[in-house]
Amino acid sequence: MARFDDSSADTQVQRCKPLLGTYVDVNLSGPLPRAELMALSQVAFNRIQDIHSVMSFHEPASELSRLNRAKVNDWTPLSDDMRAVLEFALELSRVSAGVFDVTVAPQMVRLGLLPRPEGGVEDKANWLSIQLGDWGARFHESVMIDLGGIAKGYAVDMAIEALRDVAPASVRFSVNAGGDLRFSDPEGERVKIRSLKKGGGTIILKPPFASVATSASYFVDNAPSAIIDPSTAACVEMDARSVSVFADSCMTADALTKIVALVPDTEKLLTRYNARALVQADGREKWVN
Amino acid sequence: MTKLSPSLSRRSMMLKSGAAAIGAAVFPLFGNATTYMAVDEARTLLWGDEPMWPVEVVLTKAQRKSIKKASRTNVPKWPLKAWKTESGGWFIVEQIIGKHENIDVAFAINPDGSHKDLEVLVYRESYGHEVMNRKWRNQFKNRTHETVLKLDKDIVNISGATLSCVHLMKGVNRLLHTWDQVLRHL
Repeated sequence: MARFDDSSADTQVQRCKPLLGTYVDVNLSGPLPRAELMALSQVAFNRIQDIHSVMSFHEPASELSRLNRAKVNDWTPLSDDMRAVLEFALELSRVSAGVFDVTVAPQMVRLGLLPRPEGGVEDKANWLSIQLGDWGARFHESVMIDLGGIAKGYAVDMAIEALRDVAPASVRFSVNAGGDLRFSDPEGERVKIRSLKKGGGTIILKPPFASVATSASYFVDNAPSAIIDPSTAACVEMDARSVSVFADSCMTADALTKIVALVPDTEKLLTRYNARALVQADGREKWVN
Repeated sequence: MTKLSPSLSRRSMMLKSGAAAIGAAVFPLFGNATTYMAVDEARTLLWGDEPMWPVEVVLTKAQRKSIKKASRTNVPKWPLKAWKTESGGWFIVEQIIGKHENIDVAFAINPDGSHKDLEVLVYRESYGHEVMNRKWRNQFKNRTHETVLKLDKDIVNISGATLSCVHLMKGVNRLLHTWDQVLRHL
């Protein structure tokens, strides 16, 4: 683990696999043999693999794809993972007055950011068309959900929880799903965020909370950013902007980056979720909250 | 081994001494590099102590063309670094070159040709806009593969925009088609 106070008696294991559409990095260090840390890392990857198969937009057999194919007004049962993510997504839609919306998938399909599912896409509806109840979820109008803006953070949280259940207290760990990362304990850790200043470089920070997530468009050359403004259905121009949100939960950090990217001065919302944001824009860095 | 110019052969020597460096001809510029594990450790994770032996796999032009057609992915010219396991599975070490990343990966293919699992061995990030910047490029002048690796060794917790793993998934697909057309007959 990237600790500057190097405790040399510890063994470190770092492992990387492609999941959730990105590279997932699991990092463990502690006074255990390497093989034992490897076995622990598998617990994290298994948990993320489960969430991947539930929430993948790309896989027709995933729970999300089945939900997206559900008939209007029919209840679809939900797994605990899906319910947890949808509940938080709808809460965020409510408190952000629709700035955060998991139903922007049709726009993303149209922009070529998501594959076109069989049966085409309809996009009249928004988050208000989703109802959660004891029976699961149902749509009042045809809706297409994509959890790309929230599921990675949730998966990181769950992997950290799964590790907490099995790892001895002497083991420190972190999980990083394509830049959405969480530490077992942020004390003594450092986080590196890409600087947007000319010539590259990075900003190194002591994380104020256990999780951090970043949204920016620097990996998408000549392509639209994956953040859609629900009010205009257009992708957000993020040429020279990067948003990092620090929070205790990685799902919160992940989802809030999308809101801060659209509405940079969202102190109230950040306060509500006990989060802070670092916004890089026009060659400057600015903390929000 | 083809004849190499003195500078090139020196470079390939350096690469050989690095952990699991494959494809000596490719030497990208690194933003960040992370070494996850050595080939042997990946082999144990993927195949336990199952015996395996190296198999020389050089794809013909026609095979490459046919695999490219089936997998809709370019097929590299270099020979496959492949081992066949006792049960008829495969262990393959490959370099995957994406738009922003260049990674060494160990793949395991089941005896029935399905994808078993994979481990990333070394991950190197290279980003276009920085490669274009001469000043940035100069910081790596005269540095060997290994010093660049050390450069970022103690900072691994990077938060940045999501990087798609699409190139790696394409690599998996290409190797499964390579199994279907070539490896299953070996």
